Amino acid sequence: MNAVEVNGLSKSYSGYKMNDISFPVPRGYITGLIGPNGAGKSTIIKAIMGMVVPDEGTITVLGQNAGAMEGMYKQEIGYISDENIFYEYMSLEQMKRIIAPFYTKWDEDLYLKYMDLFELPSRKKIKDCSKGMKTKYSIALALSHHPSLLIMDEPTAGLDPVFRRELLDLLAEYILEEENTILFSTHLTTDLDRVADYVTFVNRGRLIFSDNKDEVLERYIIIKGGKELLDGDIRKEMIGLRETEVGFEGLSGNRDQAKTLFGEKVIYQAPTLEDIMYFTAKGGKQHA
Amino acid sequence: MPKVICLIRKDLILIQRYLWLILIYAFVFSGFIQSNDSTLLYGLLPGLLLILAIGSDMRLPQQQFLVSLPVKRNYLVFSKYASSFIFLVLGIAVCLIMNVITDMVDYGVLKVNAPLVLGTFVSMMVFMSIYLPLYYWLGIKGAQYLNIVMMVIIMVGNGAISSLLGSEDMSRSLEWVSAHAWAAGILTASATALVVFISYMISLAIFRKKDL
Repeated sequence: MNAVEVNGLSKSYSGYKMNDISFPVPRGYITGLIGPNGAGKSTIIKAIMGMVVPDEGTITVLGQNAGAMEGMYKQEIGYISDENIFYEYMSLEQMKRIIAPFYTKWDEDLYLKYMDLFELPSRKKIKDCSKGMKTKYSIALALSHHPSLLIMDEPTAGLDPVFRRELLDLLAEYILEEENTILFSTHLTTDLDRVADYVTFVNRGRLIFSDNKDEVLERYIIIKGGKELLDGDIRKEMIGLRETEVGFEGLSGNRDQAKTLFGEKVIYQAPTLEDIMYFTAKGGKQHA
Repeated sequence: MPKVICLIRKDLILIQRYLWLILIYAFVFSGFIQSNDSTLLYGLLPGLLLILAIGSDMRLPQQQFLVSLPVKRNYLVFSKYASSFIFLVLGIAVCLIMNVITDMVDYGVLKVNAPLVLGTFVSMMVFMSIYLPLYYWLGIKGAQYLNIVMMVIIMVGNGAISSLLGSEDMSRSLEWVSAHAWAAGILTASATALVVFISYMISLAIFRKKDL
């Protein structure tokens, strides 16, 4: 069963169009939603959370219809925004007092445990908290009502490396519970290299792929070789290409076909998610 | 706890930060310092309370927060109307209490200016019915100007209504109203309820389609 199913999601703004996005978020796994800035990651997450009204398409969360006019499905979601959405002038304790009654499974002991773990002072005003503290607080709130789906929009952006590691460890601990699922949008793909099971990649409002991370990394390949090898057909085979004075570096989406084309004349290298994102976003004809 | 109650409770918590401002305003424009039945008190305090309460959720991040809660959008709109109504009644109640206290201190009698209280209530309900759809439509940027315009309308409107009530033509109408108090009351209540209902439907239609 999938925790989230996005089907045919389309949304247009002035100067931006998201077209027919469909992908599943498998239950019990961590799915990373990647793409460069402006690719449409936040729009997808906001559509799942009912903040953005799609022009077309449907979304289901844990078998329930999701979207702008629905509400109850969010009982099962712990949402962490990329920016502070809480009332800045309130203390952490006051904000918790507002949020807690909305959730039927609110666990005060668990909340206090996270506040203690993250060393968050209850009386401190939100506006006086650092970016890291605000993210920790969002996580404490999000986890304290026992959600079975955690949705995070760029949670690691702006965090120091120490807390980023701690956060990833926390997510790994959360996902140990069999029924729990995480959807995690980021442009910092190194985070996903560590923890993600599935990856959904969007670029310029289009879905590039949505698949098991290991299979994606096995399918793509980086090719490095001399310029003399490049001709029209070869260029067409490349998803993205970076040319220098002495040679080229490119990404192919078909490992077997690339090896048939180039044989032993080039160097092959396993790509990272960042490589795939970079070459796909930039496309061909990149000169260094 | 029912979700609408949670949302109203949230508005009550949010307004607490303005409590001193409201009490100082109520004292400054009460009969202790101004004339009794001051239009600056009756005219502005309920409106001020309404704008402060609604304004707490006006910024986009706060709207995103509200929508991230396990609550349908129509409950969010409904609760805003319910909270506004409560604040309006509380605002008028504060005005009434201040006036009763000053009358007791000044004249030793307890009197309530019922037409002023009812007039304020009806005009504030109409004000709320105009303000909320504009609030949902314009968002924070437009609402900054909207608040100024609305406060001016309350002040000017209050003066205009007072002079209108004092005119000869109006006194004949008021005589008719006095003679048919029940009919006039039911008519006014029905018309006000209709205006609020239409306003709610417009706000809901706007907020249903709003991207946050």
